[in-house]
Amino acid sequence: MGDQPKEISNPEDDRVFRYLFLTFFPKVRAMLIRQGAHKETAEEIAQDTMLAVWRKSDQYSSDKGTISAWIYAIARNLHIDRLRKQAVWQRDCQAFETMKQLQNSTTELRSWEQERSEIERALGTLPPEQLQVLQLSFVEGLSQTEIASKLGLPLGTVKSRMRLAFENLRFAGERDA
Amino acid sequence: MTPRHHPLPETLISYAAGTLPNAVACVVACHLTTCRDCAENARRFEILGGLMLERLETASVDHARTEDALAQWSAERIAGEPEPDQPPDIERALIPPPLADYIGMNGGEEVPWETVVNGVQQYRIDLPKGSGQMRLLQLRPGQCLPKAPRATEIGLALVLQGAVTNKTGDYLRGDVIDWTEETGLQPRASGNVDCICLVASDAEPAGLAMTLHELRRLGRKASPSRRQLRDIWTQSASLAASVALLLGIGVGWLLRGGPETGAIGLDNLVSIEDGRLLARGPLQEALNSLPSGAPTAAIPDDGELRLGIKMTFQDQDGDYCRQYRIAAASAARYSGVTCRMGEEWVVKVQALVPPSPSAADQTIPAGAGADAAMDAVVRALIAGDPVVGEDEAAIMNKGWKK
Repeated sequence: MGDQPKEISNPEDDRVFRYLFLTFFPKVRAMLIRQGAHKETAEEIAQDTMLAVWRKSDQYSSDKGTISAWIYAIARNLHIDRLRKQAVWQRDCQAFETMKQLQNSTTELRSWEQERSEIERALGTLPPEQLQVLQLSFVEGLSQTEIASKLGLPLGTVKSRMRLAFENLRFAGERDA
Repeated sequence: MTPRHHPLPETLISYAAGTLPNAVACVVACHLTTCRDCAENARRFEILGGLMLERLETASVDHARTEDALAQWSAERIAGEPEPDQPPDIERALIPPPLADYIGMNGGEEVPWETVVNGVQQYRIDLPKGSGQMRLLQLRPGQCLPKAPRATEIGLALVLQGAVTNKTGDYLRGDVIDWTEETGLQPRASGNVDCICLVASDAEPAGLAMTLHELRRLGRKASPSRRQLRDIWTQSASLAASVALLLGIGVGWLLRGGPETGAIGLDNLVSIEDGRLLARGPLQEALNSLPSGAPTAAIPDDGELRLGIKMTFQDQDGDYCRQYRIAAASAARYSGVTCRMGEEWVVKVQALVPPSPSAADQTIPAGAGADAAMDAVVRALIAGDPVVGEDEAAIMNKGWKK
């Protein structure tokens, strides 16, 4: 995954799209099935996720975030819209765009690839119980209450594990520096 | 101005994962439009989501599907309709872009406020089922929120204008109050201008609130079954235990012919119209004109029934409601809550109180049995303080108009 393309806006290059489709379509489909989608629905949304990648490809570059984060956000939003039939408040690139506008001109945006590497390293050292609540959130799509119920834990315990994970991941870069 | 109060870390994680209650997610999205730190953290957790997506073990995609997808991509390319995302206009209006776009108020339109109580206005935002609850609240300077919204897992409030003080601190524009059922939310507008907050919670009606909600919902339907009502009421078991029989909207005056009712002409007190149970005759007259706590009024025809009003109050929709009691010569007593809807008194809840020795003298003692249950119902409905004395008289003179 480390050799993901930096730009995907060259419409003449089918190789990029082929790579992205082969890599992420099955993963998005599998994630959606874990989150409760029927197989056919999961395939449909996964396909639409990859089409959205194409439609919005001119907006992506590696300085906006990682490709997998971008695809994850698109799939998440389609899941909220199609499966839960609820309002989507998060734009696929909203956090980045907001940060860019709020950017203090004297500071530089951090390299997302650097950020990704730091988070990946931190994940490897995260206590299992903290990793577990993150996986249940991001992959299984469970709410805090649902996680508490699944694990037979008080809701407060789930929240505190998430909080600790937040601190561990947030300061990962600073520790590495 | 950089916000000083932010969503809790677990709230941001759940936001990035897309698992927050939908209404609560809206508040976070609005906060992110003004908070670089939180936007950065949210993006960080999207990277984490992407990493977890990368790590999923899956079977490979078959060749035919890949070619189909690429063919579709080619077709899309020919259509040539990329959909650029427009970045949000952060410093725009009172209502942040994610919500302004949703409710169609991104051009500075007036918020269609409705009065809750004096000094408190709200605009309830319709969301799809299962999204939680969301509203804009406007508090006059010095005004407290009369009744905290419920949040079982999580609730968020975002200050959009002015300043508020909660027991957890002081909050300005862009700040977020992250609260739960335990920590509570009771903000007071502390600045010199009206305070406007966006308040959202995950709470769908539960417990007693569920009872009332369901009764309201059923009240809009024709003839719900008695079993439906019984099932709903038994969700509030502690209250049900103190009530011999409870009747709700639209099922008819089921007390008639009950073991304690004897020959009481309760038919004269209500009618069922459009699935609603409406006060009629002497009950309607007493609700219209009898002050709270006044000596009970005997029904003129036969004097068998005596009516009393225990309390007047406004509910969270700003409707006037009254808690009343009915005592009969047969020692049967009833307690109920009704609210003014247009020109009608709609009976929300009515309960038969078990007979007691003190009921035989046709006085209406307070406190026990269904009265206690009704007190709980009132607590669930009431916004602000009871309306008493001259205020009540003035409202009465205005025909109970809001």
